[in-house]
Amino acid sequence: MRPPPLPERRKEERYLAPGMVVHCDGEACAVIDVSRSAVRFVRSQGLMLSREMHELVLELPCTAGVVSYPVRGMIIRSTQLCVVMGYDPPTEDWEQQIKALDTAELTALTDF
Amino acid sequence: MMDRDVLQIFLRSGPARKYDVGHFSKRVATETAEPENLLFKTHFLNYAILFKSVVIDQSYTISDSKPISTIIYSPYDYAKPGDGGESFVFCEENFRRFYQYKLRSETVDISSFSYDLDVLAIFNSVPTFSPIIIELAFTRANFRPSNIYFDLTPELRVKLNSHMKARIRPLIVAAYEQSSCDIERAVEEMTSKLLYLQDSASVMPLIEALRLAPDTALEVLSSWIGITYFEYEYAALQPQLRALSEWITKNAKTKDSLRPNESEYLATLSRFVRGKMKEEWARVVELSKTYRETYHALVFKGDIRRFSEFLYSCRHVYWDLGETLGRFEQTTIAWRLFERQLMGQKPSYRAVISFYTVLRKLLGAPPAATAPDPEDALGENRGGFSTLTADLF
Repeated sequence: MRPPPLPERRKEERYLAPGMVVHCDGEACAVIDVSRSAVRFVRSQGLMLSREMHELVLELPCTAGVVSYPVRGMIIRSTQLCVVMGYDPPTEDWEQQIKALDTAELTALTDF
Repeated sequence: MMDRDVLQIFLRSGPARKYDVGHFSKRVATETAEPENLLFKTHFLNYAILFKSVVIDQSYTISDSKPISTIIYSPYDYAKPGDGGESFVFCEENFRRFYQYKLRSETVDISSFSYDLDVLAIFNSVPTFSPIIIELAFTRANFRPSNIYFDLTPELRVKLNSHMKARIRPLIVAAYEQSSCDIERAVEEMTSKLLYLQDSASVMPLIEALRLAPDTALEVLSSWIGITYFEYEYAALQPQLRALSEWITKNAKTKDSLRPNESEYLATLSRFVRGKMKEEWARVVELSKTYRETYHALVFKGDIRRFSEFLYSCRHVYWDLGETLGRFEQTTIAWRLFERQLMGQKPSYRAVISFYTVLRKLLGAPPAATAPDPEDALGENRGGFSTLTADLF
């Protein structure tokens, strides 16, 4: 499954996941936000973006440490500050996993 | 007149309202064995207990911009703080007078006085004593006391920093992507700098991008970061408050058979308490909603105008949320203590009334200390300082 084109990606729910890290071609980068099929991360200085496809490892914090999901990432957009890469969701419950980490989800307040 | 019920609640408060300097001083003495690691230079302050409380001034009004003050409570006997003590509402003038009174001297050791005054001013600069809020305030002021005073486990510190950085990082990117500023520093470095706000020059491009007035920008940003943290605190309190609200509705039955007027009084009190909880909580939810919507507008839609508008009001929101957090935290602690005393039994009518009365004090008009009359601030004619916060203790 190829990552969705840009307009579709922007319709996806985006999550802020504390502690999530993405390794792009071995370079650890802080995640800005993540959706079901794309991740936006801080562009580190050593990152080479000349190719279209990149090796991504999505690292999620969990009680036992971290869980790693290797995926193939395709550049959707990049700026001086950040990079957006699309990927195929690594598991069926991927969106639930990232949603469970989301700051807005974890701190949601509702009326009594 | 001393209100010991409320004093007991304050003494059993959580970190939003209480900071027990003596508790940390003992730990510092035990764990480091170096007196110079104590937080204050003046002995009595190292065995004081600090409280946050709403203070009503001489004209019976509460400051709109800073509704919560810091009360320094010096128990007569630190081992029995509930037996009473002396206290004053913190400001430089009150501190100077109390300092002279405690040291029985008109001459003040300026070096100790000004150092301790600065430390107290840091505590006074924030609406709660939540450990991460205190740690950030000390870091921003370039004070480095022993980590013992912040009472944060390394795991919790990492978790909270991670939570706040996850919120700050997209903000940095969104603000800078719209800015004409030339960004040379890495986003991660800026994220840390914004969290600790130690170097105003380094966050100046962000201040410009967010269209903030430079003279108030750091205070505004630290308030926004404080709200980000309070969101976490409120989320943690939410299940307990919901459970208390349900308990009031369903289970607050006494073991006594009641006369009609007693039933009516009980129903009136419980309606008031539950109504107040709902009303205050709805206000918090609304503030949180505005905070989130304006944040999402900037981070995901690039709408800087709405976010900036919220920033202009966020100092007030920060103090308001801090004050309400303290009341909710005390409410849940009061409930826990009440439940523990019941040990699974139904309460007596008197016990429930007493419990609701405490909740009414906590949730109704905020527990307030009366600011002292400056002419009587020394309390020379009243045997010391114990009357300064008469309404509280």
